[in-house]
Amino acid sequence: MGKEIRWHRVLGTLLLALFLTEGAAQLWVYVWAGEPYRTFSFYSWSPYGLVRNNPNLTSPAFQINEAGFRRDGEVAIEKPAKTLRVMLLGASVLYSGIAGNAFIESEGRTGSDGTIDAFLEGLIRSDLEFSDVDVEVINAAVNFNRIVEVSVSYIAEFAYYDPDIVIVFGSANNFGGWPAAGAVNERKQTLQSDHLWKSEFDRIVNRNDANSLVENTIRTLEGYFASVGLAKKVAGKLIDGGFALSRRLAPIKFWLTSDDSLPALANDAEVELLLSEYLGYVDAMAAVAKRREQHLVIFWENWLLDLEGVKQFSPGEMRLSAKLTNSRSPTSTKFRFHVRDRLAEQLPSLGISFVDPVNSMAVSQETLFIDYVHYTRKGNQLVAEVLFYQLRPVLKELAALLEAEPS
Amino acid sequence: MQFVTSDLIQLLIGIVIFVTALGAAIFAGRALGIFPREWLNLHEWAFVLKILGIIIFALALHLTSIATHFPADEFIYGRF
Repeated sequence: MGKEIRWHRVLGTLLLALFLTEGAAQLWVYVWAGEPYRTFSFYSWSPYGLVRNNPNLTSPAFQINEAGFRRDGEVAIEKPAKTLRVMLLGASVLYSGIAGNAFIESEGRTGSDGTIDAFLEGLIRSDLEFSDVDVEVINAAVNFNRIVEVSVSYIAEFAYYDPDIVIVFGSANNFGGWPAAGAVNERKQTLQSDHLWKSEFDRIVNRNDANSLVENTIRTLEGYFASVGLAKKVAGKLIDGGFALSRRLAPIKFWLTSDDSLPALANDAEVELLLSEYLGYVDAMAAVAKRREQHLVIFWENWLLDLEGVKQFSPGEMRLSAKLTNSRSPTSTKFRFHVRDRLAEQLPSLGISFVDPVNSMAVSQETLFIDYVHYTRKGNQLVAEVLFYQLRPVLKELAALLEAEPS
Repeated sequence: MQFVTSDLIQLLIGIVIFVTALGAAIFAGRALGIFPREWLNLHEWAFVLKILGIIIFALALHLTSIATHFPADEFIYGRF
């Protein structure tokens, strides 16, 4: 046996291995997603609000159109005549995502036919009062959007789709638990601090080190090869699983001397400051909406645990709330209800409608929540109904204006 | 003083992976025996496997270095 390497054979073997692996990966993706592989990257960068959903995403559950909206069909930027266009902006609740380890697995991921926009469009279309106009409901949700990203994306881009009405979701990403004392003044609250993906942006775009080179190479190859996309997905899940396992084991306090005293909470002045910062973004959106004659609505996202004692939980929600025991915080619930009530007081005076589905949720015995804050298909349907019936007078006025338009 | 046990466990996982890789390298000579010689000889197989090993470890190192940016329990947001 010689030690000489026959390079053509080595190269041929590598190419054959790549060809066979790629073929198998393409076949697997086609069977899994029902379409040829494009990419597994969920997002693409946007200069207006950080990211958009990636139109090239290959997924059996999520359909993203060319504009990055969560829907099958395309939407022209220029609104067609006599069309009532409703635009929904927000984050994962509107996207109909799932977060955390505690969720109702049997509910599965919601397809684009089961999201709030799909139900809302169906409701408006089926109402004879709207039979003289066409209806388009656009879901422009992007996971983890806060009002920071929502407002910028609206002001710089989505306002020019000329929606007649804009409904803003995403309150859960702006208002979590009661802030610790000093956190708002130091700008450490979720609404104020860096977005989760800033580190991604820095690593991929701003840095020029070896890690950045490797990542960009993988990302480029992922756009062409299903085998690379799959390898990245599987390896990522394994590594993330390892880290998650380490965190789950971490609470075993072998050496830990914990300080169980509760941190001091932000006072009223700090809470008002946070609210004021939020309303600053809303003011900016309202200014653009007014200029472009669009009606603005803010939707309040309730958390499952906030509805304990308010809603009669279904068996699935009961099991879910039991799993979420460690997240139970009466203080956080009090904070969110406080913010909700302050918004309900202030927004109407700014000409902005405020919709809180709590009353309808309270009388529903269905499983509305799939995890701590996101909705099931039934939950999406209920929210669409609440929006439709509460906003119906406004929608009717807008439709009447459209009917009077020349064809 | 608080002791971050998750860091210690991550270190242990790292050690296990390193020892596994080291073991694989030590016994690679024997493992090479299972590859057919009709197409490539031992040195050629070793070269091919080195290439594959470099690719797999580059991917693993890269993903490990950014894993804490997106904890698995926040998978909804996904890795960009």
